[in-house]
Amino acid sequence: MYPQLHIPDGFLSPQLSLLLWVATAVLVGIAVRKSGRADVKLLASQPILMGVLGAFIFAAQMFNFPVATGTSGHLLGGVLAGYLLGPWAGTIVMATVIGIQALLFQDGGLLALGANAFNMGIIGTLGGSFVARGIGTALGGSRSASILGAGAAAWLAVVAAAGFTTLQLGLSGTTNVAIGLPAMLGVHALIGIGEALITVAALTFIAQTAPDILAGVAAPSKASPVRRLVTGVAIAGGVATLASLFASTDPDGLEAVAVQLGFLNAGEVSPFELFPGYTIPGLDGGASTAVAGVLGIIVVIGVLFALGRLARSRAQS
Amino acid sequence: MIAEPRSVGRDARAAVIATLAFVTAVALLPPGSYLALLFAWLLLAFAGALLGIGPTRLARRGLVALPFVVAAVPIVFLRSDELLWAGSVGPLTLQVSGAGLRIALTALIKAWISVQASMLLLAFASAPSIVTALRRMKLPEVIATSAGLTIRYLELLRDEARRMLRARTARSASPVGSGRERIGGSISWRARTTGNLVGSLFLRAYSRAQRIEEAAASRGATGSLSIGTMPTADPRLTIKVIGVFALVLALTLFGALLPRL
Amino acid sequence: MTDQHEHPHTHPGAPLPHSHGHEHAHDAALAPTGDGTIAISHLHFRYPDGTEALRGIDLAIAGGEKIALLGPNGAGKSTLMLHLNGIHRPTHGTVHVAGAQVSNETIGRVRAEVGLVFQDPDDQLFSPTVWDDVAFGPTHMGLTSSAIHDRVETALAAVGALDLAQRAPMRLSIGQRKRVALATVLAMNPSILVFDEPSAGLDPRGRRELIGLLQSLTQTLIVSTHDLELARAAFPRSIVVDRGVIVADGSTSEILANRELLLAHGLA
Repeated sequence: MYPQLHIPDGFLSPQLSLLLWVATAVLVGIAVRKSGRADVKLLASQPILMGVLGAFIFAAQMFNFPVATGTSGHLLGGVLAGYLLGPWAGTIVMATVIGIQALLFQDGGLLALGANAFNMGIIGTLGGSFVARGIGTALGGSRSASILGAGAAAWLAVVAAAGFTTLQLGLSGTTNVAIGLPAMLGVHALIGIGEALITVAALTFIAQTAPDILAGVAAPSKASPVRRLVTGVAIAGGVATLASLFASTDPDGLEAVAVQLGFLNAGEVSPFELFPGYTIPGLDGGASTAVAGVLGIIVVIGVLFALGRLARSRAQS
Repeated sequence: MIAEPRSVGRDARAAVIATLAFVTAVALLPPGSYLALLFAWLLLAFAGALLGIGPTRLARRGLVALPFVVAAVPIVFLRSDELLWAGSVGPLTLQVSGAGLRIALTALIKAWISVQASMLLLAFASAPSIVTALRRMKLPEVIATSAGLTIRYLELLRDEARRMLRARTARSASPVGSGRERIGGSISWRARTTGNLVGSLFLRAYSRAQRIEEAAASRGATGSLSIGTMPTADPRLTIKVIGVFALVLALTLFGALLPRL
Repeated sequence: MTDQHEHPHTHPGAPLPHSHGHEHAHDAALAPTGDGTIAISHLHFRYPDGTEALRGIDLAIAGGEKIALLGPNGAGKSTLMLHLNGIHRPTHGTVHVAGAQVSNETIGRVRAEVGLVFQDPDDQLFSPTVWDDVAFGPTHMGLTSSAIHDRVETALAAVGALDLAQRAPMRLSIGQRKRVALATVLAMNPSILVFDEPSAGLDPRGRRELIGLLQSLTQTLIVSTHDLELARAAFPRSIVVDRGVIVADGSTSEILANRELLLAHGLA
């Protein structure tokens, strides 16, 4: 039972893929700024620690535990990375790991990398780590409360990432959310239990055997009852929102949204138009949208290239 | 998995751009563009042949993405347009939709082709030279450094994990009196055991990071550590990139013009 | 000296020795359940990448024998040892341990009969306390908690590590960790113990203690080593493996006296 979360290329509409690339790039960009002044410091050199722990997460994903004959649980590790490195650096490490998995192991697509890094890195690690801290605070802020919070968040992160993955496939018209969403959420609710158990056990192990190392991880502060209450309510509200998003997603509504955003064509199922409704005179429908699509990409690349040139000349002068 | 790098230190930017553009072009093809997809695969097979990878080997290794097709299976049965077949299988009433089948099959072929494209990228340029290319393309330094170190220590830590798993397997005996493999202990005990393995591996990784830092510090490195030097820039980069986009344009046009099934 | 058949063959088809009620018996003293025999015939093994690591191994070992496995790096010693515990399975040929052929049907039993002690104790030890680590095997075997308690205590006592029970393995010295790693397999009551380079990384005193410990064990012992003095001190029989075949099998003193043989196979 590996988490089925690494979407290959071909399953997502190109428009949605690009949108998620941009969203992920912006958020990872913020993470890069924030990770410089990290509140979690295990080593003086954050980049060295991040690089080696990236390899660690990779390797830790190999560890399985037998659930029943022929079935075993595996770790994804997002919340674990966020706990050990802080949410921002953890997010960068997770996004990097997902990128390397796509590039070196063909586990997840290159165009789908934005989506995969969004689901497992942004939702699973960044979101998961803040939820973990929130729960830790709400539970009183001791070390064991924070580890318990990480466990709960690890479960939530896996389930949420599965939910987002399915919604994206649904928006792209490659899965039917009426069947896919309950199935994915159900399976990952089980996988998430393994994730939670492994995360808690790993952090407990580290806290027991090497308390000195974990001391570098921002010791959770004792919070006032008011703050605990507020954090608890905020987390509960967030989880409830997520749950209602998944619960209320109806396939027809999702398809309508997908058509509206241009991920799907209502009649001809063609996730093809970059600019819906845009046509070039003199060419028939199909060809003209194709040309429009390519022109659009060339324009975007051109703008990025020009910006890069500009930035370089600024830097030199 | 990881192909033997053909060269270290060549400017891989053109190859990275070409791969991304190719994968995007394939993704842009509408469902049912089997002819255009065949053309795209022939392009890959040609590139593979230039790199010394035969088409059968390439095609076989592209199969790694296929398990994900499970995600696209429901669509075959749950769309009600272009009904190809309807009937009951046991207690279930099933209908097979032509449109759904087309979507699922196209997604499958696209995934298969895209995987081969990234395999070829790796056969052309080594992992470190791809990271260098990405640095040139303005990948933030902290990501480039950590990606470089992750790649460098990946096999080492995976090897440690493998040895730890092997030692655990060697001790995973069955309950006394039973022949066939059975598992003792509760599920939570087994999960805790796995968590302990993860925690142990973390401590090993951490002490390795400490040693790397000490070694870097003793060489006078501060803050970020740059990995290797940049290879000389490819003088024909612009021409190559223009060529790539011409090809992508052609592929997309094929997708629009060739008949779809 | 190179005669491979001077040792009695066991009977591969012999029924499994029974161990009924053993976990309830109060003699949780680690009396082996099996007969400690090993019979290997025509063993060939090829790795998935095509490397042919073992090319026809025939070997018979009687219960309680003490054997040093010698040979240069890459000769196939580790590959051979991993077959005894079913981690690797033969490409051709058969492996019998304690009368049972290693197969999917017997693997759970085989792992209890054969204790593998790896070269790096850090690969073997992963629990927060020494006690938990030694308890892993018995717990996985589904023993009752009182039986687990007895087994752990006896195994730790056997290696003189009872006082370390509540310590964290990673905080111990290399010598202590090696002893604990041995205890983790002793607690499973194996009739065969297989060691990979047990003396690597030990200082002279640690090495002396190790030799004493090895000599105190009653199980069949197979030890892969480059340490010829260790072989001479604790192992009456030696087997030299090179390029996937057994090139010599006989008394340790004779083999170590054959300088030509040692030179030919990178041992001297």
